[in-house]
Amino acid sequence: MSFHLYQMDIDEECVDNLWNNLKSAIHRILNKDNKGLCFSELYHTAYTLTQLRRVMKMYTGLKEIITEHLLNNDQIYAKNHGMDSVYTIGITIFKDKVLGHNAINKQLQWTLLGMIEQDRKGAFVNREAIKNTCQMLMILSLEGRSVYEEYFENAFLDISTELFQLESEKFLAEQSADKYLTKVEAIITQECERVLSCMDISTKERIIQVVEQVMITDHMQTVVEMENSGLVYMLEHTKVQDLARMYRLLSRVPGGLKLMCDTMSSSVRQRGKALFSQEEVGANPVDQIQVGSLQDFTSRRTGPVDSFSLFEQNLLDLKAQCDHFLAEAFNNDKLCKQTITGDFEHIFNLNSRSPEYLSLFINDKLKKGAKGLSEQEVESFLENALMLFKFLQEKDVFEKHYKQHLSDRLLSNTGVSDEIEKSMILRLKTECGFQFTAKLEGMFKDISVSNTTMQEFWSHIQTMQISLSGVNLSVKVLTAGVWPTQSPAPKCSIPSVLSNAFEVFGSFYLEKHIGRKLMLQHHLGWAEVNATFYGSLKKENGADACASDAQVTRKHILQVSTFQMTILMLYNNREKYTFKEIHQETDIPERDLVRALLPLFWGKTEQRVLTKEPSSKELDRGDIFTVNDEFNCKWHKVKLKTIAAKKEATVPEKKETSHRVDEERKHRIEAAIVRIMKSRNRLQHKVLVAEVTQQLKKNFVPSHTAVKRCIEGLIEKEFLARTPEDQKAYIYVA
Amino acid sequence: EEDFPDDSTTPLGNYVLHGLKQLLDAQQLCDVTLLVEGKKFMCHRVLLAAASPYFRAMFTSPLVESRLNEIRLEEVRPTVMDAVIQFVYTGEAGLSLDTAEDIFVAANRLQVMPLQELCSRF
Repeated sequence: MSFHLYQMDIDEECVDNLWNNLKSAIHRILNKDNKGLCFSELYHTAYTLTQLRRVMKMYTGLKEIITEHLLNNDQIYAKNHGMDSVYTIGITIFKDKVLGHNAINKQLQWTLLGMIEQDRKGAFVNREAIKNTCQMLMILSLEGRSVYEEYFENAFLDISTELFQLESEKFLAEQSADKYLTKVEAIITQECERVLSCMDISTKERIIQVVEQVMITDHMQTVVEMENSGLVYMLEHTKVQDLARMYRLLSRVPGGLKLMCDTMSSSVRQRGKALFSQEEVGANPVDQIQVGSLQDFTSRRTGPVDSFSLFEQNLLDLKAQCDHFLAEAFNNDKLCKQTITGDFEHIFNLNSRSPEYLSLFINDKLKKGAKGLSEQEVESFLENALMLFKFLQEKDVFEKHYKQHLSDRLLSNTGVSDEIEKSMILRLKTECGFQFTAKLEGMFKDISVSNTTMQEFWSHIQTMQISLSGVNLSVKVLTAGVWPTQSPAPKCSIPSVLSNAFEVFGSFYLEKHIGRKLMLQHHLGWAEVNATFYGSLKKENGADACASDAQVTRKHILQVSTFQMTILMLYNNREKYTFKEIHQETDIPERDLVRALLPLFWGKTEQRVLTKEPSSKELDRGDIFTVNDEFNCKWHKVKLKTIAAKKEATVPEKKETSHRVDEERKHRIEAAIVRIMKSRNRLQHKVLVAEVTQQLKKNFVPSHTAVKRCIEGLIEKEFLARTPEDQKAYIYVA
Repeated sequence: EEDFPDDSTTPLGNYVLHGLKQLLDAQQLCDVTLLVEGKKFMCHRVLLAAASPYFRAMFTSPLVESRLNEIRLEEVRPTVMDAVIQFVYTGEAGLSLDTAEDIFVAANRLQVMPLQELCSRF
């Protein structure tokens, strides 16, 4: 009946009809609607289709129907009844029956690990196969990753841990820190890449964790502390690349950054301390010159003067280096930044003279250095100075010194430019507030008011036709309290020409400002005197515009201190004076006199203004001073160095400064206590001290004893009282 | 009852098959009638279903045939059907050159595998 069918042309339409019949019957059966369906008919249809060689069509169609039906079943039935989907059931069965078989899973794991081991050795392995297997295990894990973990990942991680442990010990024994870190970084990259191409991506995090734990956390202490290659070595040899690598790796693990920062901190502090002790060597007070000992006058001038500047510069260099590391190697990390800042604060405040040195450092630049500097360089210098200033704890002490130095600059007219000065003050103001710079600004105001006053004075002189005997007077009126307090001006009998001129100004000024009092601080002033040297022919010396005759050989303008001027003016009357006579005539205290005289007779023959007899290195009260007519200088205007230029504060001045600072601090502490108590009314001792410290921190850190003393003082003055029930608490007494 | 073989050593399969053949010959306990070109064959569903996936599916699936006592089979001739039934009850087909091809086709169609095998080796 059937063989002849093979020869028949196959009618596709007929095939489709047959299949559609079958299909609709299957649907009906699946939907339990099988009334009237006849098995033999359907079988006949299917059989015919087979004979027509349409088995594949049936197979595909049937698969579709079943899939559709099962999915339908999953959705409608399994889901609603909390049953596993067909897919899940399939997976579960495969997992239990196939993978659950001991021989299979052992072999599978062994093979996978073996392949990975080969891959790690660089041999060629079929990564695709590993990847597929891992994917299968992930699929078999269904929603989680339990199968993947159980049959592969756990073992993989264990084996890796062992491997890395061995490797890291091997590297550490043979290599230096930088090489070790390079290796670790390479391993991390390799492992990441391996995971991506061989395993499930979720393993990445875990294998990295293993590397981090085994190769970084477990050994970081050793690596960081390695001699001749560890962190300290890298810092000292500016190994930015290695530092960056160390930072990258250590910041991955908990405690890594802390370890780095701690180590770095102690290294930086040590280096800072070293800078500080370098400075210490040369730091002798310059100011010990007295009658009788002049020997090392010249040598003393350089050492300590430069030392502070060296210290600050070195500190800035170190800071710049650290900042460089911070930016280039440490990714501007917050903790690193804090550490560095903390270290510099520590270093900078190690030296109790830091406030003074910083002020000197600035003084040095604002006085002469900035002349050669571009605007940008000045700006960057000021920025650096301000940065150091921020490290400073005793900002109030700095202010005192700065005021002193600013005053010197303003009065001796040696400041480079008002613009720069003001720019610095503005910075300080921004940093510390209006109060901090109020006096500094007051000083500027005095100077500009003085300039106006002098203009008015001169027009007054012209209109009134008053003669000042050729004295070109310039007065700066300084408001008391604003300027650094001066010890009263040392005695000095100023030549009458000058004191007369000053009196004229005095009466002019007081007429305009009734009720004010003027006090001449001549030791703050300076003078320019016209000096005429007559070679070896004749000895004469004029202080005012030159004496009439044309016998002049050399004319110079000497810029000198008031004392020196007074001394030189003596020689208008006589040719020779002994030290004792000068002392008597001028009334200048001996100590100041020595200081004033020294620059006049010290140095090479042609540089001396005066000659001392005998020309020994000792200074005796009977020594005779005469004008040196061999004085020669290629400049017309000669500035005589003054020792009293006080680059560093003298001992008494320092005492003064510190005394003033202490006084002022006491007031501030008291004010703070009263402020706090007024608002809080009642406070525990500890809390009060803490709050006071907090409030004053910006300017200085008060010691606990100081605060305590102030509290006791206030109790005595009955601003505060101890509470009757608790001796350690205070109340505010209105 | 006297038809049961005395020989208790006969394998169970043969023993059962022999019993079934006796029931067929006696037309006892038959529960289905196959209608082939007007000719009726009374048989036991159980045996047919045991011997052929085709019949098993026909009798066990919930289609019309499972509820009918008389089932019409197309595309098979009565002589061939008789040979198939004889084979199922006895294991013997009595093939000849004339019948072998037709029986092969029917065995294939009705999925009586041993018979198909037998024909293909004839």
